[in-house]
Amino acid sequence: MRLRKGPPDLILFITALTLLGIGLIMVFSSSAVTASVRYGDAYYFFKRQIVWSVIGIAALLITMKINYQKLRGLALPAMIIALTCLILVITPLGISTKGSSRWLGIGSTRLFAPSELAKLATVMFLARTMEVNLDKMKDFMKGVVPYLAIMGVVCGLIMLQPDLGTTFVVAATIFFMMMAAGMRWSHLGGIAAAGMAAVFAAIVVAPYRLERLIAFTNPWKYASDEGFQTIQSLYALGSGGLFGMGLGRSRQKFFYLPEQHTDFIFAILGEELGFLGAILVISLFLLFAWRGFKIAINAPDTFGSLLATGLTVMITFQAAINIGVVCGVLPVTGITLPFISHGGSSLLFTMIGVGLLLNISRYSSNR
Amino acid sequence: MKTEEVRPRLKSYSYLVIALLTVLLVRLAVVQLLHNTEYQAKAKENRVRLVPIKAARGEIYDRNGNVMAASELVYTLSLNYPAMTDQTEVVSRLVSLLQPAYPETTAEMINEKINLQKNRLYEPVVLLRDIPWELVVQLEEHRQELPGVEIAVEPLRNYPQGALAGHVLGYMHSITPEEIDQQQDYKYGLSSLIGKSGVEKQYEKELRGQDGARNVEVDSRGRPVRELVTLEPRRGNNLYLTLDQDLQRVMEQSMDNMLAGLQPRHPRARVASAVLLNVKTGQILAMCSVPAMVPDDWKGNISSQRAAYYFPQGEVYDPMNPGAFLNRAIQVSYAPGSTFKPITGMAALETGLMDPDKEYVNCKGAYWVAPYIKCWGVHGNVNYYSGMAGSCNVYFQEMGRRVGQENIVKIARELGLGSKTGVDLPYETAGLLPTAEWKRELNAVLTDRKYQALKTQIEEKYQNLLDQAADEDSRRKLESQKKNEIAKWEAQYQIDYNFNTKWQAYDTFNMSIGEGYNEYTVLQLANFAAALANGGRLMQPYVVDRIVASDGRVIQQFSPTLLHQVAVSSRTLAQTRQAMLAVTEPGGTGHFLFNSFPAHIRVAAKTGTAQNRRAPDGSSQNYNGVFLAFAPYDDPEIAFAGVVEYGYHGSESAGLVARDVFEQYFGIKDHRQYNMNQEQVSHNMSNIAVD
Repeated sequence: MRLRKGPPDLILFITALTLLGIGLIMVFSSSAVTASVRYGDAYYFFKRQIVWSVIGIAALLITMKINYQKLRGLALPAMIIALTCLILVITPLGISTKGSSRWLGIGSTRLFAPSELAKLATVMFLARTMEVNLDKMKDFMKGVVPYLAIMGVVCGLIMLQPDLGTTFVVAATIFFMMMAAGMRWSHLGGIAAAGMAAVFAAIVVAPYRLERLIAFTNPWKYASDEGFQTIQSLYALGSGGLFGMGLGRSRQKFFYLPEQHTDFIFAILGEELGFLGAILVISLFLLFAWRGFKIAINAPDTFGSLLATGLTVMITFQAAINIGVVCGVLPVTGITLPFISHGGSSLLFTMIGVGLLLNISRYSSNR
Repeated sequence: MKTEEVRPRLKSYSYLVIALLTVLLVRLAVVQLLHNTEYQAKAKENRVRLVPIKAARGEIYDRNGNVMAASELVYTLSLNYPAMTDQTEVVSRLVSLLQPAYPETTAEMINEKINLQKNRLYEPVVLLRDIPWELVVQLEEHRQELPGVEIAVEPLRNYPQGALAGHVLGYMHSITPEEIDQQQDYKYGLSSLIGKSGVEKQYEKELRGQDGARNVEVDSRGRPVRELVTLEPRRGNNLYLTLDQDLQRVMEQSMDNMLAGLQPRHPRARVASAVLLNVKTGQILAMCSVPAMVPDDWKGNISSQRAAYYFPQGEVYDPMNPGAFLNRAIQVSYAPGSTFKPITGMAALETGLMDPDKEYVNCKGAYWVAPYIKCWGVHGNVNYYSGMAGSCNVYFQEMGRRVGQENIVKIARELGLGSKTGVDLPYETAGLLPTAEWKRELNAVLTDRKYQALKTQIEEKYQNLLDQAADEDSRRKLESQKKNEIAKWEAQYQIDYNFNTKWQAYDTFNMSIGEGYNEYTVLQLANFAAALANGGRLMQPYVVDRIVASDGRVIQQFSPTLLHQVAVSSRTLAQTRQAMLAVTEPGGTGHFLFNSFPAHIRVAAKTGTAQNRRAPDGSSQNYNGVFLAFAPYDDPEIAFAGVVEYGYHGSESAGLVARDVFEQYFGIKDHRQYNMNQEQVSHNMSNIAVD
């Protein structure tokens, strides 16, 4: 089937760029204090973020050009590379910070986080294999079990780092794709029960996770350590009110809120730009989700459709979990806010994902 | 087409995602709009504060339970930055109150401290530790004018015995930013103190305990509203050392007295160190290094005067002001001089190239093989025993020639010379046991460097001449001259290179009498004497006997560790011990030291007078005194080694210390009564830097 090429989805493109722009401003505003203290250069994180944004946009433009049909052949090799990297990162080759090993690099120079590659590779791999097995998805043994196995391997490896937040995102994305590909609701119910058991097991293995879980339900009780971030995050958001304290005027970024330019950047955004700023960002993510699903629905084939679904869900879920953590409805898991948080490989892979979505949108069947 | 199956499902599921984000919007509205005033107020008041409760550091005792390092409660003055309303105002008021007691305190100094800690201002900024009670009262009276100024009771290290065993104990000082970075476990803050040397550093993890914390919610004026959590501090573990306080004190006093006695003749005799070991276990019973370390000097901000005492500022080493920082028993290595002769002797015995009784060597005052190294006397015919007793250079050079350098190195290595002993103290150096490979590598580089420089000189010279040359003819002449000179250079280089990098016969002669390149630590020498004494068991020396929790539970009991059984026959060891016994018998170099000892406590020893390579002008003033001994000869218990820089004769310098310590150990004479003198001497010692 020869597909006609059209223009990419402009709304999605602009949404992504707007989020990226807000991210740049917020990275500068939230990190300036930490950067000048730690590196003697207030622009340290800002400059890095600019460099990564440029790299990200370049990657977006490249992935947008290549016909996504060709990715079918890439799905399996990408998956193998991703799994290899995930295994490497939990060996002594990985770089450890704060008790988890999430980075690959040379010496102490971080190159990239394998879990970011794994998210993308998993979505591609699932889209490819589900396209072939679409009529088997209703069958538990032939349709559901193989994907549960894949999920077990990928999530298991990410848990070993350990990185609970990314594990959630990957698991949720895989489930969503299985549902979209036609899995039965009854199967989902059974798996959900099993999932609860798995979460319980994870907590038993590393009790600090339980503390985190408990901490978020009552942060004030655990104010000294586990609940500290949540409390400070809520103070930041709460201080913001409707209009915010004004750009650059966050107080919390000074001494109190850790990870203020990465995992908790949304709290500083809420403090400085207020509820209106927060609404703007959430609306942009809503817009992103809407366009993403639209691209999925209008994709010319099942592969494109599932790929677009996976990418959209992955990015929006991650945003939702991050914001949920910041406003205290989810336990602190340590994941970034796509487009906004400081972080090189996170941004790069998000932009590649957007590039793929735009790519699929160019072959839209509904034009 | 399959796509048709996916599409309708996607439409309905997409609402899931949208619903999720909408829920978050609602939650945000609650936090940001509904709780706005409440959270904003709390944020402004600055709410949760972590007030650390410092853990008391574990105490350090000697082997008999005498306290050597304790923890006392002191008042600490610090700033709670977030509670300070007006930094300039508060600081200036504080400085005016502090000035009478602490004239060196200035506003700049305090602001600098705040600035240093600018990324951790939620932690208290410690200004002064151990402030007097009068000042506490005064500050409390002015509490209202000093928001953010806080006085806390904190445990602080003190050393009730002053400088006693200062180098072994080590000292505590403020942590550096680099040290904080090295800590993975976030147990230290910028205001933390950390062990910097000695036992304090080595056993930091055991001693430090765990700080507790009180988590308080405070109002805008910094007053606690309610306590959230309290984490009790856990006391550090106590250490029991192998040191014996009495022996340690006698060793230090004796050392000071001996140096004071030497200085009229040898004014540069100001640096010395010694070690006393239990030969059966490897326990260190006493270890000292002069000039002494006074751990209390490092309590607060060390004065520049005291800093110069530890680290002399001159560019060139000045023997009159040597610096007290190093523990010279383990961090500095010395030529062993004649105390190395037992090693050479053992090598000769082991290879069967010497008969200790029947074979005599004739000493006429110098060895008969080039470079004819002198003996310090004319000994006539000597065998192993009389050669050792008289420390004959000719005899041991001859033995060295017979067995060769490799056999000597083998024995030295067996006895632990030139290798770290693995003692549980930081910064131990390995010293140097020279080998042919070592010499080749070192001198190859040195020779290359020297000749490359020469070659560059030649080339530059001719380049200049050629540039100035008038005509083609003279230029040609210069070219051929240059060629000649380069060829000469080349030949000289080859000769020198071959000569310098090869182990020469005289290297062996030097080595066999403990000169040349040999360099060992005093601890290695003591341990070598101990292994010789105990029948060839090379033990690992250690200074901490056990770690005991604050409730008295023994956490770890260290037991003697055998490094290895020395591969030397017990007959050789016995003959060498006998040769060293001859040293303290009539006619021996150490006879006068121990002649008053009772008959059942015979001492075996070896004296040494080793070149101090720092100032090789050959005069007698540039020799270090070295002394080894163990006793009782019949069933050895203890071994001693000591070096006195510029002390000349080992027997008249370190030997005196060995005698006093042995007398104390065996109860021959109680030296502890002379405490009064010691005060005066140590006072003199600590003033060296200032003179």
